[in-house]
Amino acid sequence: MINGKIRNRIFILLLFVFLFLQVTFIPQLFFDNYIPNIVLALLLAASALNNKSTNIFYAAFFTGFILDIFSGNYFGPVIISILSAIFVSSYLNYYFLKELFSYNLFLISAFAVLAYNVTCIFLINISDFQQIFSNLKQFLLIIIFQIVYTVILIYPLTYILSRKTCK
Amino acid sequence: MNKEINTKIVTFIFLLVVVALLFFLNKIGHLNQVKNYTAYFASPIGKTFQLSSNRINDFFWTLKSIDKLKEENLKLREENLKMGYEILELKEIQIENEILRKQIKFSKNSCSGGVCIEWKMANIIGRDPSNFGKHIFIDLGRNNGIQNGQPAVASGGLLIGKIVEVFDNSSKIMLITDSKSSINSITQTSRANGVVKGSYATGVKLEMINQSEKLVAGDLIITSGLEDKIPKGLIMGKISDINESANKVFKSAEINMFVDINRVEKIFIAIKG
Repeated sequence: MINGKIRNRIFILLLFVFLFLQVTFIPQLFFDNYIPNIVLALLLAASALNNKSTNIFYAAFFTGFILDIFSGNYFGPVIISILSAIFVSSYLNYYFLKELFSYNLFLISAFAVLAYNVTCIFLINISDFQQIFSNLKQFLLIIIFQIVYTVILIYPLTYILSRKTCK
Repeated sequence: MNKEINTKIVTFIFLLVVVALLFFLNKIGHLNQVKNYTAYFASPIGKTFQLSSNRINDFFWTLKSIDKLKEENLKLREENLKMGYEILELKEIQIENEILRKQIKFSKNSCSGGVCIEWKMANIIGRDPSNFGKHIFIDLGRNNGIQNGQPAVASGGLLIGKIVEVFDNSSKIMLITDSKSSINSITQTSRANGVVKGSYATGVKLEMINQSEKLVAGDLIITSGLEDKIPKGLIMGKISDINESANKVFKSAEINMFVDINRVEKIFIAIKG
């Protein structure tokens, strides 16, 4: 139980630090449209490690709320996209993560990031679907980069969150 | 279906309903106070993170462009010499201008057509975290006289965006590179009217130019002054590539911006007096 509590505290601390990094440092450091979503990677890692709890949905809701305030579009797309990604991730985790953890974590996070991006693109361009078709190549590239970034990030994050901090 | 999965589906649907509720609360303006407080608490931490971020970004940028900097240094020295002569000429023109202003009794305070512009400096406290929008958050808001539609300018009179949402002590700027941004513009020498639009792929584009208008590569794109709060003459970039075809109704052109928005630290907001 102590381990669980400490893990939760580490998760909350990391979530706040990552949130601030996501709205300041990360967009400035990376290429124009290829910004990794470190907060999403953290949420996916936590979801993979503790799949029984629904608390991760509330954490995703809170995170999406903050990110939605900072993102420029109308209110809502980021919360819904993050919630969709977490839903896809926990659904797949339930059925596939019991065996071959590392390999399945890779596939599950890729699907979750895909769900996040597809929902986001759909919701942001809901009033102008023409934008989706005219920028399809650009969107595909963004999704590929996001998947790569997230998959690279998710393994060290899973390691940090799963470390035994107290005996 | 398992109970565990059922609980998750119920939680997911419950949260989606809450989001729908928040969406409508936001539409009727009832979420503004929550946004205000979030921005208020995030502002000091955001500013600190942004400062460190600027320093780290500067460090990497310097490392990356050390060769370019050497070349640029040589070019700048040459330009400096030329500009020295130009400054002398401009000083003469300034004196002449003062005399002429006195002669026609033109007030020094009236900037253009009797309208004065006050420039307010702002710090960036946050950036759009998503890949699909280009917005920044600044530390000036309603309490500082900021209103929707006011232009945001980088040093040198380079337009980078306009205010789209105002809170008590902070506001949100939509950058000209955002795919939903469009600003009335004009080319400096050929005076062709058009609209500068943001694009996911290319940054910014000059569009809606009549086939009869002439476009020249390298020509400066400036604001036309047709928009209420955006003064005429703010620079947006220069034409790099012209796309014209007899089959199309309008011409378009790619624009090279003079400012790397990622490296902008201070922003000036133009407030018309």
